[in-house]
Amino acid sequence: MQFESSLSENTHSAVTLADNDSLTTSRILIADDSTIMRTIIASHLRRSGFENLSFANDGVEALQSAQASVPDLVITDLAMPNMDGFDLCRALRSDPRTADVPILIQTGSEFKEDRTRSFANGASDLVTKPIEGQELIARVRVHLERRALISRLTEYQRRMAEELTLARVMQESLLPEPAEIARIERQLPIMLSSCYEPSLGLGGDIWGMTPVGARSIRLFSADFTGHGVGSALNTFRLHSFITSGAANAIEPGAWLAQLNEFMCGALPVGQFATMFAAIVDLDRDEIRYSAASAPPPLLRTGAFGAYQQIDGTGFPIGITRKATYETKRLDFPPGSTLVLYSDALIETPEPPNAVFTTEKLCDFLNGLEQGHDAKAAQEALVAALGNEAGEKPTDDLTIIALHHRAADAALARNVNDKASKARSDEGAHGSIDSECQTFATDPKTGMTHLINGRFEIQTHDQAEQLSTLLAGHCPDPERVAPGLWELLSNAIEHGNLAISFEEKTELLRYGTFELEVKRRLQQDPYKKRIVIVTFDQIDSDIRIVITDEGDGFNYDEAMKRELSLDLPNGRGIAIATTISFDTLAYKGKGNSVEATLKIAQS
Amino acid sequence: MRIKTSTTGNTFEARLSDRLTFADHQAFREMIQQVTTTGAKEFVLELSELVSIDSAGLGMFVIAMESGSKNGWSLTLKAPRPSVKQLLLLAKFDKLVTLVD
Repeated sequence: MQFESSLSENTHSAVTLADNDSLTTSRILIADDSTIMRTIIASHLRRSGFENLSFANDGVEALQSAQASVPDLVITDLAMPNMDGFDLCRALRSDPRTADVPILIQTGSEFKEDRTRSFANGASDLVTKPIEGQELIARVRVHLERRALISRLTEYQRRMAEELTLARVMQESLLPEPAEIARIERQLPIMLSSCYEPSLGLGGDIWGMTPVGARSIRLFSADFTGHGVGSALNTFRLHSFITSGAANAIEPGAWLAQLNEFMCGALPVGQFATMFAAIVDLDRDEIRYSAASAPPPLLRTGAFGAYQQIDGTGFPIGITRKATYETKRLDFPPGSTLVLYSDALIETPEPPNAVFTTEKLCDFLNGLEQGHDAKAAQEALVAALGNEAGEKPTDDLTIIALHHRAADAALARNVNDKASKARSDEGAHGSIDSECQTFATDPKTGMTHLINGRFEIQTHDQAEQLSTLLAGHCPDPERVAPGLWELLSNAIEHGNLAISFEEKTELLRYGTFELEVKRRLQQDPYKKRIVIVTFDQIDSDIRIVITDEGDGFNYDEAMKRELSLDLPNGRGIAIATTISFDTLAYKGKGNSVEATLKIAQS
Repeated sequence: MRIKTSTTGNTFEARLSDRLTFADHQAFREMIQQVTTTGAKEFVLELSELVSIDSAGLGMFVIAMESGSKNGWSLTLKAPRPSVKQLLLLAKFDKLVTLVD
């Protein structure tokens, strides 16, 4: 730092990079057992303005002095008592604090061996005895300048590295935060997994995910030309423009057109971005997308479909204002997965040796276990690239996998369309209230299973949704769902709403059952009642407990007689016991029922 | 539930699809009314597109059966899927109505 500032203040027409003013403050250590030699050397130096001198009578003294206060240069004799010049060289070089201090050794021109040995022991240069003043000063100056340059460069490098690290942290902060992703994942039936590796500390890749409306999200990825600082700055431009809200179009085509308009004005000629933007609409189970020369994204429709390429063609962003962007749509039902990636994935190593082509990517993903989710897909890709490429990508690598969670689709959908329907149909409460849900992911399949959860429902719609949801977390959903539905609707109808079996039969006969359910859901005391459902998986048992707030019933009598589906009442219970569950037990006054299932150990 | 009906001679056929639950009761009752009105002798419920049925749905078949015996037509349940058939057999519907694959 000291050198840098003094160098920049230097206004002399200097022949050398640094003039006396900047170098003369350098601390020079002179080691010689001869007082005369020390004096001669010092007087040459002083005459040239070097005043910051220190002296040592032998190698040991010199080493102690150098370690106490690191000099900028050492001039030493070879033959000295206690420690000679060679040993001093080695000692200075082996101490990290003094390892790069220039060392000038005085030798006699007649001792050729000494000269070679000096360099071998770490000397920087030699001054020939008898000391010639101008030569000594010239050599001292060269080495001080060199040292100053190196320390400036080292400092510069260190500062650049620091700034790049900071910039990288800043750039990564442009990407969606894990907490934000987790929040969206809790609210919507999606799962997102991503990886981002800039190539040279800073990259030109950026991606984002933001909710748009209650049940849609915008997902985009962009890759600016080049990499390094310039591209990184462009990602900041794009990000600021997007977050400013200036791009207010919802549909991807119109949105890309707005980004293009802005980028055409902002980017210098020759710089542009390839992009892919999609609205993932979880109400309509579809994605609407638009592309700008993006590597073809891959889409698996449904959990067991095959991955297929999506058209990624389109004008890159920032080239021409004449570009137009079309919005296209594709189905995205529960279980579907969308994979976006930057071209590093299909260009590592350089084609034609690349691990993946887009076709190979498809094949690779299709070879994964069926029904895998986003995390499994993304991690498998990164692992495969790492294993097979044997080298890090030379370009920025971004992989984003978005999965429409199948098992929870029913629950999530309930929040919106069913909610409004339920509000008008049955009462005030549309969504299932759920809390304390714990999930576990099967390491083999990557599938997520509910471990425990607690849910509150009031209406038939919710009962239907919840029975589908919970059955989805049981080993044989098709078997469990009908019985669970029966138990849940029993709890609502016969429990909370106090409609007896006989009443129900009559109401059904006259077609007024639904109306009566609707009426009671808005009436005291029924309208405040809820059905609490708990789901617990303990070892190889699944236990579902359904508790209503009704008066219960004489279950002893009901369970004692042989349960049969041909009896008009108790059919629901019979379905639950015969088809869906291994055991079924009513509790308390009959307003709580516990159903259990054994999970087959594979 | 969705219903598609057709009449061939004395046979009134209805193809049910999706799910059959209490919510479909109104539509189902109207359909039974229609069978009687057309004067059909046989009412065939084609179930191959019906994905699931619950206890209330089974109850509707019972109502159809009762209505048939009162109004002079017979009920046939045709081509149920395995999951639906399982329920019909458990409910011993094969003893009450004609069940054909």
